[in-house]
Amino acid sequence: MRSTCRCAPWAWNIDAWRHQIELLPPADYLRMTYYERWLQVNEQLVVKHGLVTPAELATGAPEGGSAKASPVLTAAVVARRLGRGIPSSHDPKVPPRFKVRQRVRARNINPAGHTRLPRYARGKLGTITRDHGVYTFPDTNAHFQGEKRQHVYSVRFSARDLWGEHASPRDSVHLDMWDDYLEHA
Amino acid sequence: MCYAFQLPDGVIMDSTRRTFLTSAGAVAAQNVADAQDHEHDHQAIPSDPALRVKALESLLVEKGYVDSAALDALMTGSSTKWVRAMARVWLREPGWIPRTRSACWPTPPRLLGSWLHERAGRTYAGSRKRTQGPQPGGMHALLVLSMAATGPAAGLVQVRGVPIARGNRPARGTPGVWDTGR
Repeated sequence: MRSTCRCAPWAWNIDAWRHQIELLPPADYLRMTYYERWLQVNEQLVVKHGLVTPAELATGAPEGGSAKASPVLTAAVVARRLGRGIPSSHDPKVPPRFKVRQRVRARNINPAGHTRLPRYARGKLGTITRDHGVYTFPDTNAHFQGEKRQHVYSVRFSARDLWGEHASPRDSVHLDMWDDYLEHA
Repeated sequence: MCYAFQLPDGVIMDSTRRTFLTSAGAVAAQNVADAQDHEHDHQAIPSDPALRVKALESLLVEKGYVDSAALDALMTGSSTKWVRAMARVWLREPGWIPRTRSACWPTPPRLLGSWLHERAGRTYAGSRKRTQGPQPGGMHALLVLSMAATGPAAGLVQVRGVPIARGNRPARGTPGVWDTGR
């Protein structure tokens, strides 16, 4: 079992989880409700990562003789973690490549795997409005290729830049963009 | 916490989460088994996803991956925490939450989904908690907030939050920015 989480060992991470949803056949994706997708993917992942066998999933009961794990997450740990909240993302060791108010261009990349870079923004010009701090890079984390922590910015794109002259001139979209999604304008 | 759910045979029962688990698991397992009798290139969906959720939770508990008490604490604590966070945001900027919608799903799937999420790894969320106070950053990418712990009425509220920072907010009347988190 591979651990990519600092807090507790687990087979996958949130980005891998999201990618698993992306792997749903399109017709299934559209047919399912929001939480059916979650459930479907969770069922797939527990099997994929060997926590549960397909037979166990089908019957709902552990197979005879299967090893019993010890829960890593105890109630005491939960209480502690909930009280602490999610750790701050400030990490001075990771310098930002861009500054607030800087004009940037979303890179025109089309990765075969997971990405959080919206297709409609690729190649478009925007303005950085906020530096969110340092976060794990989903594109690598989803494939267990490392966290590649980097700054995430809120980038403002005008609706006209995204969708052309029929869009309202007053509209804009703020997208959370990882450093690797951006290039200098 | 108390859930009302309908079993396939039409019997409605109220139950705590624990008794729900034990009673619903068998039904859900049968549903999954029935569904898998069909030949598909993907797993078929049984009729009641809520029961599938409970079956999965029950299985993970039995296999020792999940501690029931931890799960209860996480669900209750998370929900309470989110409810408080939401309340703060609403009080502070009542117009901020761009979209609420009623959810026709029962609460258990949401709760387990949230828990699996939490359990599965760190979330991209909460960046501004120190400098900005209870700002919506904490509600970002994951999410769908579960407010189920506060009761049936709150369970109908589902929010997908999107941080529009102060000063960055579009003029009134313009569309907000939706989170695309799944």
